[in-house]
Amino acid sequence: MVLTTAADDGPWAHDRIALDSVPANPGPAIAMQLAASGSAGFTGQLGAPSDCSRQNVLASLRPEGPLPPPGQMPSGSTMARIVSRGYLIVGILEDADPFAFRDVSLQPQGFDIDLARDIGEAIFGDREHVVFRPTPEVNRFEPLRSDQVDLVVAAATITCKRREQVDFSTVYYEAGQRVLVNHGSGITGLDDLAGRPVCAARGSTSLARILAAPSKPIAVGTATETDCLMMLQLGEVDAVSTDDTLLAGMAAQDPQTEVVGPRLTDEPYGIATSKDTPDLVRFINAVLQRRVQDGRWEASYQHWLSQLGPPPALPAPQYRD
Amino acid sequence: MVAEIAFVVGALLAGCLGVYAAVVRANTTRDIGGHLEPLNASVTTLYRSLADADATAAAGFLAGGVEPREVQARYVRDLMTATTNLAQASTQAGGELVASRRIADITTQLPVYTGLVERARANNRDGRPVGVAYLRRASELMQNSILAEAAELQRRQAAQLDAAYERLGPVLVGVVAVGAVSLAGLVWLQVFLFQRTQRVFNIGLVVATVAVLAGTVWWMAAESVSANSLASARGHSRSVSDALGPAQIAALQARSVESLELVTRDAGPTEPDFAARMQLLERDNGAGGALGAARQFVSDQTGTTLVQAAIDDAGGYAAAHREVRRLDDVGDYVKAVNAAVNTREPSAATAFDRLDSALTVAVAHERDVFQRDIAHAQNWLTGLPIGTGGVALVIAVAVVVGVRQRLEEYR
Repeated sequence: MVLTTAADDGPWAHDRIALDSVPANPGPAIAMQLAASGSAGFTGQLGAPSDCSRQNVLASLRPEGPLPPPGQMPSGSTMARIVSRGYLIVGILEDADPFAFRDVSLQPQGFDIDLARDIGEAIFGDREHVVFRPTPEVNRFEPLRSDQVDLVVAAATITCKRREQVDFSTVYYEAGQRVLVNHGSGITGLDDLAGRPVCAARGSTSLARILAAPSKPIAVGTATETDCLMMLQLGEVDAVSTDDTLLAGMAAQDPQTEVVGPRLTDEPYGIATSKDTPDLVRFINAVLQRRVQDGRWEASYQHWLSQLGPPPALPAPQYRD
Repeated sequence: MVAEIAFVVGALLAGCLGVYAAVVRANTTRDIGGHLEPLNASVTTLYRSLADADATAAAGFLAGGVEPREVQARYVRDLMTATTNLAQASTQAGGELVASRRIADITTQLPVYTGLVERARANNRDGRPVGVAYLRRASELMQNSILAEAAELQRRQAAQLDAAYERLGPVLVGVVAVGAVSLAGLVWLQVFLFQRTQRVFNIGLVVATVAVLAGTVWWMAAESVSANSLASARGHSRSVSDALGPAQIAALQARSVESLELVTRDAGPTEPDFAARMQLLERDNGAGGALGAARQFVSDQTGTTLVQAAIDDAGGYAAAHREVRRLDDVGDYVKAVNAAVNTREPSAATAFDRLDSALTVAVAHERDVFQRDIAHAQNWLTGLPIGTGGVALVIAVAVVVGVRQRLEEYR
């Protein structure tokens, strides 16, 4: 298959890098953008809104026009660079059933994986041109900063603090933090866990929430979420508290556990990208829009998350420009 | 009269000391060959089989849901070897407090480890991702706790072996000194008697003189020959305990890191760990590290050839590992796992097995030569205690008889 890029600037090529100062060693993404632009002017807005708050933390960049056909990305764009490389590199978790995990034949599977492959399909025309790289759970965005991946699809909650490091797409799933306990424990939520050990992954928003809970449970941090399930099984913790989607995966593994409690938080998941690739963010948002419209989102939900009930309505995408 | 008593007492005294020294030497040599060195080897085997079990368990996970039969068999073999050697070490440690406590620690932790591995396997077979968490915990227990205890045990064994060798310090000078003094004394006595009795030869004293000469010569011969053999033996046992043994262990630990890296995915990068183990094994392609030390230690042609083969195989394994990392880093996980565990085609698994065998063969050769050397030394030392005692007795009696004879004649 011969992949071509559009000869002239299409609707996706308007972004230029807006930097107050160019870093001494610009990464390949920046270098390409600068080379392609020729001039140092800018037409887009980058980075986190200067006043990030609950209202506009979810605001992403608006897609510009219809999606270009696969293989025909505007020249000079991030997507064109991906096309010329030949594959999309996506950072994923590998231990976050049912969002991302390896099945018995060692292939990545899950809700996040479906999404990543859809993006790859929008760029290349088929689902095979995606390469997955593991991201450490503690710092999911490290590979973005060192340019090892193009985007990170890793059940990452969009927060103002994270917006300082990376950019996010619109919300692709809304999860909520709940609690996983053993059957028959009588626990109905964090309020019943005063002074008892509750587990979540180190560096996650869930662990921060446990630390802040008024009932003062003992927060236990682990390397991965799955370690928490093991500790629950071994009796080392009394509960696991993280996004209900991950808890659903654990409950599916261990029928002696159950998800309890009210939704403590709203966890809007977004796809993270480097701040230097705003055209990629717009592209992804367009893919997400289309995915909802043509039913793929719901199909993926039914496949992986049906034990959480009927598919919820996604919030309408918010844009800041 | 006084001189006579003095002589007899002196001879008997020297004889006792000689016998004692001879007994110590003979016993120590037998101890080294029959007890300390085999115990050292036993503890090393314990460490090896534990480390191999860990590496094997992780490799089994990489094979997917159904663990291959040979992997399960290897794991079971490793555990059997470990528990056998643990029992031996326990028996040999006897009442020694520190060693006994270490062995007890390993004994109590080993079932916890195997329990975790089984739980990991059961979950993995059912397709439950939580299995990986159990495997990681098992491996942490093995590497950080059990193997740490085994390493301490091994250090203690090596120190004991070293101390035994030290006890066999050279006594050649002492032997010559004692012989010379005795000879001088007897010569003086005979000259004294000659001056008094005008009789040159006295059977008793002549016998005594000959006995002293014989005893001294015998000791000198036994000493120099056995010292030679012991030095060689020490070199060979050190090549195992200080070089080839650590080499085997470093290789196994590297293999474990490699497998675990592929199994546990997002628990953080462990490649520096692998690199560190390989450095321990063969820094600068065999110039340094354990294999470099081995090259210094081995003294014969066969040994040198075997160590060189191991160095080459270490390079081969390092190259195979680089391929595994390359595939994993570009995201081709399935191929990376295949490159790590497939035993039917050239892979890290086959390269590692080759390295492991090469090291095992080298160790076997060194131990072989060690046993020969120790047996040789022992041959020269076994008769020494009785012989020394006999010679001392003969000297004492001969001096008494000789002097008595003269005195009677004189009277």
